[in-house]
Amino acid sequence: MALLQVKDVTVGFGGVKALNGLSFEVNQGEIFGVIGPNGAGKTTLLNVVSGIIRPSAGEILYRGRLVSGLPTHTITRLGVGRVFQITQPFHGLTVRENVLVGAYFGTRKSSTSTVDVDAILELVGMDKLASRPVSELSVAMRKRLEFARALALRPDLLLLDEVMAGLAPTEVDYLTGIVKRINREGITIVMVEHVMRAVMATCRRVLVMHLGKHLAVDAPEAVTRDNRVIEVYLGRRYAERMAGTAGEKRG
Amino acid sequence: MRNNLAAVGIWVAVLFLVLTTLPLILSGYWLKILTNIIMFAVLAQSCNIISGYTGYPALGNVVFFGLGAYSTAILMNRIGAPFPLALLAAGLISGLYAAVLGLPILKTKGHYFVMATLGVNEATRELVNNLDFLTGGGIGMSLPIPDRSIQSFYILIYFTMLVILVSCTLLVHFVSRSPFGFALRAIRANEQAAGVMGINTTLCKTGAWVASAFFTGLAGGVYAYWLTYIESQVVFSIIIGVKFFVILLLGGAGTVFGPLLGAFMFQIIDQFIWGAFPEFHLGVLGLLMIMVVIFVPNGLLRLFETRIWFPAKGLFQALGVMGTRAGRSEKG
Ligand SMILES: Nc1ncnc2c1ncn2[C@@H]1O[C@H](COP(=O)(O)OP(=O)(O)OP(=O)(O)O)[C@@H](O)[C@H]1O
Ligand SMILES: [Mg+2]
Repeated sequence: MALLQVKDVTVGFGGVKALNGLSFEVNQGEIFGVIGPNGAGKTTLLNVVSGIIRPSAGEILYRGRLVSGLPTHTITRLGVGRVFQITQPFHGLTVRENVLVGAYFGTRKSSTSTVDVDAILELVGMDKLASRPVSELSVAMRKRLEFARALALRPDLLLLDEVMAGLAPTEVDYLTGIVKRINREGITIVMVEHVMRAVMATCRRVLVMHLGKHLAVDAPEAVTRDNRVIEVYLGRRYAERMAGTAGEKRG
Repeated sequence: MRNNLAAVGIWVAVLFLVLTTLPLILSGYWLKILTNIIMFAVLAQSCNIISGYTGYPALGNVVFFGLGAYSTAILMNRIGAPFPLALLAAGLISGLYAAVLGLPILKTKGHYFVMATLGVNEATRELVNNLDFLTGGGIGMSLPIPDRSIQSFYILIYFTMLVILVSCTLLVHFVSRSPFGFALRAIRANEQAAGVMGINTTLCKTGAWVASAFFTGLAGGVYAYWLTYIESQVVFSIIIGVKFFVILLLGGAGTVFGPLLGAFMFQIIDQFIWGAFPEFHLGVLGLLMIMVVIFVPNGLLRLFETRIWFPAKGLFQALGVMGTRAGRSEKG
């Protein structure tokens, strides 16, 4: 059985349908990419899975259990972690305290002994910043902190919303490395991402969304060759460049 | 860090000594002022829990003050309950009121929350006004006169208020370093993210408001017994709400000792500087509000810590360095 099942989910904001009868499944252990143009409904999808928004129709099952309609914190404690597109650190708390919050409340057992906060900070390379207030952090470090905080929840499923956006290529590679590593350790990942470099490097399957609908689900290589995907998202330029590099290789 | 802790310990010990011996030697007038300071410290500290730590500006918290006052009055006057029992019940009733109101009202945020709490205060006052048979309506309500000397009665009131202040300050102190305190601060910083981090935000906010209401209700109860006469215009007065909110901002919202410092400083300002213009009392409050927001938005406690304490420490260090240099040059 799939770890996450999204069935015919619709979310409407006034007249706009941010999600329009969307269905797909995510299997245990995979890194599942979600791509699509701005406004396709990717963030809304993650919001509805983590319980911030209720779907107006359809249902979401996690480990076969109906979770749509449950409060956010309950879904978190069932093992669903979330990293926001726009970083949302807890101001007034230090870096370590930010992570500690996740350790205190996010896990099913409410003891911190099971979560090694310092090991998590070390994993994301922030151990030396532990006692700093979050207001001092750079954008890249804030992104890493979001990551660390989500890891402190000990999730089985981690939802990432454009964590690579706006980062330098070296930072993208660093975070990609962490994503792969935690995935090897057993965390299933749903990754909304515009940075194709990261998508190609990590995902086994990619969902392409357009106007709240499912456009295609396939391996990243196949998706980038799909004409419909090129049309609505990647653009002719990208396709030509890919074709061009392929041509050069052949020639 | 340990030095800091020792310093706080000494300060607290001195403060405690002063606050327990002072009322025994003060005149009636000054005892009244000191009791008033303690009462507003309780109100500001209670407000601190929901507004300072949790980030919900509960201007209308004065509703629990009025409710506590009326509960105490009704229980003592109509049922003949002894004061301690009536007081405890008043606290619990206020807490219960917050629990029931919390579910709908704590869903609102920012300005909407402010307006909602003010609305609750007005509605509750109207209710009290209309329940004549219980509350005496617009005429107000008197409480049984205590059968002891007036001086010992005022000292009793003072110490009751002080015990309440110490209890709620201790609560704030322990909560601020507990997981629950982290949850409240996380909610203040970003409620949506707090939920995603596994925090039951509804439960935590409601818990904070119940604690806040409990202590505010206790203060109201003591106030009623102290004055032996209450009317709804006074105990549900929004001016009281504004006053303890300003005290909280003045002292430092989200700090353990800010409300105490704020209450003390506010009384000093009220007493010595503008006390000369009694007819301009509300104007003073208004001016103070503006000045606090502009000049000490983070409160005096934080201001003292950064502007005065650290430079002083730096000065001492500099003097120390100069001293050792001088010593060396003498040797050389
Ligand atoms: N809270 C909201 N209220 C009203 N409309 C919303 C709300 N959130 C999203 N929308 C609309 O829903 C649609 C999908 O938005 P969403 O943020 O999910 O897109 P996205 O795929 O994450 O885009 P991006 O790549 O820019 O992050 C958009 O048309 C957006 O304007
Ligand atoms: Mg988005």
